[in-house]
Amino acid sequence: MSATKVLAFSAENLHGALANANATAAEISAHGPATYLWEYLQYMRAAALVVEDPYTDADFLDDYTAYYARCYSAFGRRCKRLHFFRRELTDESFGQLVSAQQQDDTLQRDYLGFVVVRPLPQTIIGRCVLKAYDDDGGARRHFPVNRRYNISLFGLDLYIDGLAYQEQDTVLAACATVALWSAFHRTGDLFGTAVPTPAVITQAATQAVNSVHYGRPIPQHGLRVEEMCAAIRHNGLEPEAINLQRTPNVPVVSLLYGYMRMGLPAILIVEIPGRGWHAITLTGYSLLSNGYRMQEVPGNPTIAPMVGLRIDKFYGHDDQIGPNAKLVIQDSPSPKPVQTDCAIRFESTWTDAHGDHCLYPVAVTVPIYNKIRLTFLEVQAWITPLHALFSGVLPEPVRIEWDVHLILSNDLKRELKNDPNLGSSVRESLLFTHHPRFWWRATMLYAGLPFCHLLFDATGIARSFPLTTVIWPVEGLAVFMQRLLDDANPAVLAIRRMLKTDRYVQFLRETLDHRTKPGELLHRHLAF
Amino acid sequence: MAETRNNMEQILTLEEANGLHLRELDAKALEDEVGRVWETIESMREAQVFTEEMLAREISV
Repeated sequence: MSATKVLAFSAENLHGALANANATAAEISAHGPATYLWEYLQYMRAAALVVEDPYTDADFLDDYTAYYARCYSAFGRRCKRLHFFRRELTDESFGQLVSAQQQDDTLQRDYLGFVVVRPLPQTIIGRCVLKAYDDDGGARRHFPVNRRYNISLFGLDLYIDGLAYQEQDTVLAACATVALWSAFHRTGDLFGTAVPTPAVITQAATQAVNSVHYGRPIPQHGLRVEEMCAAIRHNGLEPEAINLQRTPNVPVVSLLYGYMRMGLPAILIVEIPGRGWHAITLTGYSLLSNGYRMQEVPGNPTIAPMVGLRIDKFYGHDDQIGPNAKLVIQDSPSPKPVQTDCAIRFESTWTDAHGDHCLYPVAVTVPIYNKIRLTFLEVQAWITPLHALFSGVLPEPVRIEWDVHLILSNDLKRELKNDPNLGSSVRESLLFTHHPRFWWRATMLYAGLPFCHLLFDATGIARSFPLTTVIWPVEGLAVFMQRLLDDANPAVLAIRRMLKTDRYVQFLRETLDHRTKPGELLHRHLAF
Repeated sequence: MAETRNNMEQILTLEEANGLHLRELDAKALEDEVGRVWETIESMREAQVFTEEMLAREISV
């Protein structure tokens, strides 16, 4: 018999519902992630919680059979699942909702998601999917890494758009495993790859051919970058790994945006001074309408200013803080307390050994589909010199912004279809042409208006001239560029030196000649 | 952090963009930038390389 309870949302009721035979409500009230959960749900205006007890959770069941079943102490194999609603509910009103023949559609509007409660002594928060912060009408907060989860609650069909989160149990999973687990939930949805449980991820990571783990894999104390990459490969994906310790010239915020915009889950690896390295799966970002920072890397004006300059914070699943935890971007001071060249740092609710709240990025790993071969940093080699050229001709270079991101061809076509700045021949030429499945699109905007779109075949390789076509929506710029790139112009020698290859100059001329039918260049690209 | 760039405050229309007065390119200034631009690009490539020491660090907090 199911012991369902419907409770008003309060700290006392939440802690009581999270409690189990191994952890009292009083202990849970002092547990960091439980406190975060309370504050998060309070912000989301939760008014009621429904306790589904017992609940069988596939992820915990796998962990249970892999470890807990063989412990001398007894741990239950069943969990509880708590559901949160933005409306007041009682046993009676909820009972009516469940037994009604026609489901009340407004219930979906008030559903905030669920938390699986594990029957463990400390790490009680199992798989949970909660609604992300409201998006301010699409203007500021964006959560492209979210996916849809369908939930059946006593016959009620509900769904939640979010990304699965859980806290590390420190036995089968430390932060790196949990970060991968969340990321695989999204890649499974995007690419149809598996969504392995934490136990399987840890096993795959620590059995890498070259892995010489310094401790036993279980109980789990952590993974190395190499082991995280091995787990990604084991899951049929490729790891895009970026080392932020080597050079300050990585525009890291725009890089993260470039992958996340398509929905890819970027895993941020940070150093917490005096504590060590930590992994966080990013779920979203806050994009302001005006600039938040002045330069991608302070003191280096050669890097093209990108969308990342308008991002003031990321949201991430931090297995020791909570879901969608805020990471506020700050320029990083010099000297830094840790070994990294990264130009930014994040302020979070973490506290380091000195009482500071700063996290210093040291690496990024993105699990990507193996056909995506071109990287964000490789695209920079094409747009950085072109930016220098545009900066020399546009009246106020400070108004230039580059939007560089991965995009699925189907999404690109959808956007082209609705682009009011493109003529019908440009649109038709692109829509009727065969596209690669993934593009890197680099759009140069001036005062918010797209002046040109560069399309790079993301399935190509950097040395094979992946720039496939350029769309020139602003005729005034196109005509000016044609004159600028003409051999009769004495400045063309300097342009050639900046763009490095004659082929790039020649290609830009061709894109300008084909500007009413840019799709024709795609045809030519396919013919090679 | 103070807002320093003005990107989207006043979005140009296509008509305004076509009427924009573009500057003649200062070839000398562009030429002077070549070294710095390609130095930046080269240094970005270093970010795709991981050292043994880095690979050996455990992500364990």
